Amino acid sequence: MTVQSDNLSKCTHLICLALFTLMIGPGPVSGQQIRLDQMQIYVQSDTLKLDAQIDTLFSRRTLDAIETGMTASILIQFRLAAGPRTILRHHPILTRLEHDIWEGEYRVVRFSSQPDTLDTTSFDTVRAYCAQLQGIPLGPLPESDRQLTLQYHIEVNPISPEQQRRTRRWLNLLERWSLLEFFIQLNRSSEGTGWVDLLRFTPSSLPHILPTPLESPSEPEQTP
Amino acid sequence: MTPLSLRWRVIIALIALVLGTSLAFSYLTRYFLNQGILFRTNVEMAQALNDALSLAKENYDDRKRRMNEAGNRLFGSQTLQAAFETGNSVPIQTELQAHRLQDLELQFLTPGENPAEWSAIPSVETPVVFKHPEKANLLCLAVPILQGGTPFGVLLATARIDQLLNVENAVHTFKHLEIEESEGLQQDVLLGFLVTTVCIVILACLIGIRMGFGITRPLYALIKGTREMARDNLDYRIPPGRDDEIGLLIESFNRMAEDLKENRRKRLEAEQIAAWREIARRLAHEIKNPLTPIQLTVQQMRDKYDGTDPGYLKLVQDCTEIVTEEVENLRALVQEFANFARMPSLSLAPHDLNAVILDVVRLYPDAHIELDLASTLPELNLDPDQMRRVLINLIENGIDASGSNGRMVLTTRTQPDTVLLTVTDSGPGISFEDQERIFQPYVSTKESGMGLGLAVVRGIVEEHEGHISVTNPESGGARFEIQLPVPEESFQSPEVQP
Repeated sequence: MTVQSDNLSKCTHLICLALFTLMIGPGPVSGQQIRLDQMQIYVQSDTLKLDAQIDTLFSRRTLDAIETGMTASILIQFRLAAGPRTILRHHPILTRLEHDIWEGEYRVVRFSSQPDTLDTTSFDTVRAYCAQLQGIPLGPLPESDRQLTLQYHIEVNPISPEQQRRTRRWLNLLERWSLLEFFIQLNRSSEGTGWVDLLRFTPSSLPHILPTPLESPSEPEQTP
Repeated sequence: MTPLSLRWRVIIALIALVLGTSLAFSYLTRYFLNQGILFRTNVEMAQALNDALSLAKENYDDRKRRMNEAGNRLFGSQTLQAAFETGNSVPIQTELQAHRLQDLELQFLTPGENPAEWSAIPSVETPVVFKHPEKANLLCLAVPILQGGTPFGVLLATARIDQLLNVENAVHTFKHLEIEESEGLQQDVLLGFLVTTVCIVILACLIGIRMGFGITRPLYALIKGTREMARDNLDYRIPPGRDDEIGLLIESFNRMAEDLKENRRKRLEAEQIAAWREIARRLAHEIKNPLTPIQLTVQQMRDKYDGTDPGYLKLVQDCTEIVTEEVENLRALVQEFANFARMPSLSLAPHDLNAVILDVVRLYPDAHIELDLASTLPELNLDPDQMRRVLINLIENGIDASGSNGRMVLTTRTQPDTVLLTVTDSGPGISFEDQERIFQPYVSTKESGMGLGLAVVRGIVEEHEGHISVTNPESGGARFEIQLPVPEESFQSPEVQP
């Protein structure tokens, strides 16, 4: 009797362990090595601004998807923190990249405080446009001269919401009370960085740059 | 509706359990298998879809090239001009057929009549092929119609490219699945299968455990009942509440316990009565023997006295009378003891109970006795002499309790298996405590009497395999009820008399 109980207990532990392993095994995508290069932060007209270059924005997988005409989205977020839980400024930039494979054209729409659109037939132009961040306004210059941290978060998703719906329809997941709804999530295709500390600085240490006459007016300030 | 027996319930439950589990697993297996097939992505499928997309692209480019050629041929031609003016597009369709574009839909636009469509055209100066800016499934050819170098109309020919877009969508979905699969989609499906399987197994186990408890719980109650009985606790009863075989078993057990308790009571009473009878017999024997010598001795003392003292003579005569009287009382008492101790064996034979009652009532002409006898009674196995003794005892008790002006009612009724005889008096009744013990020997509510009468009555009734009880009716007095069994040979149809 004791031996049977021990065996039963072992089997139960094994089943629990297997289920636990299955549940924690396939985690979300941690992403490729997206990072910011040639970063410069400065003050222009009492506004904190940022110039930067994103390195390796598109992974091989994302490039394949774009090549077949899938619509990708790129979400870049900056925030200025005075402490672990004190966020002073938050600035999101959402970019939608469409590829018309029939005409061989790309359209990049950037949703920010100042929307912008690029139409081109060159993917290199697209890559440069998406990777180049020029004059990104982070908000008004803080009055106190305490140390601040600039953080960024980049997420690239080659699956558009329309494609999500199409795939779910294909898998019959749109059926009411579908059993698989409880277990399957189709939103793990995005790749990103998580929140990364980019720079620690004090406002007084930043260079001041005068606006050039030909420079386009800076985007309106945005506060969280 | 008759409830299902336990056997059928168990069988049906087990079949349902097995079928339910099997069907659930079958459904789940088919479901997950189908999903697995849908998820299945491989190199061959990817290559086929990419090839299909390349072919679709070639088809698109070829169609676009032919539309361009057809547009250039129509641009500035008399055919287009005439068709625009007459509205007859047949010559244009003929021209388009030459370029294998017979499936195009034709429409003439003017800036005044169709401003929306007009503004969607990229160029109205030269022929142009373009995708419709709002309807992605339309490939359009716009051929301007000039008049004096100024566009005043456009031939818009549209082709549907839904099939090409379907190929593109299929490639996108496949690519999406490839990405999801690389991130653990199959593990999700497997996890779903395992979780649902474990849930079903747990559910089946719970149902099985509940069924098992449902079956064994009453059995455990029976086991507890038998143990209580083994501990001599005959008052223990198993709660009923089931309509199946186990319910019948519980009912039988409870009935058996009740019978055992009743038999024990009867046995104890019989032993008690036997003991009392033995005492009575010995008392009667020991007392009876010296009574006659005492009486004779006293009488001899009185007779032999030859003195002349009148006072002493009177004393002797008075004492003799007292001793003789008390000896007679003792003799009567001894006779009563002897009667109780010598309960004669019954001589049973079929008799009419009503006739016995009428015989006895005739002995009490001055008593107010009312008879309410059933018109037809089955003959009972009676000892008429003993039954007279019973009736005399009850009637005399009733007369004693009711007084000289009291009333008594004797009734007989036929019941399904018995005949009911009641003797009701109009006395003060019998207290509840006395009702419990009034049939025991030497228990009496009267100041005089030995308390043996009702014990004898009960003994005779039980010798007849009957039952006697006493109650106080709402109308007052006491009512003795005697139930006597109807023998099978004289059993009549159960006719209940009013």
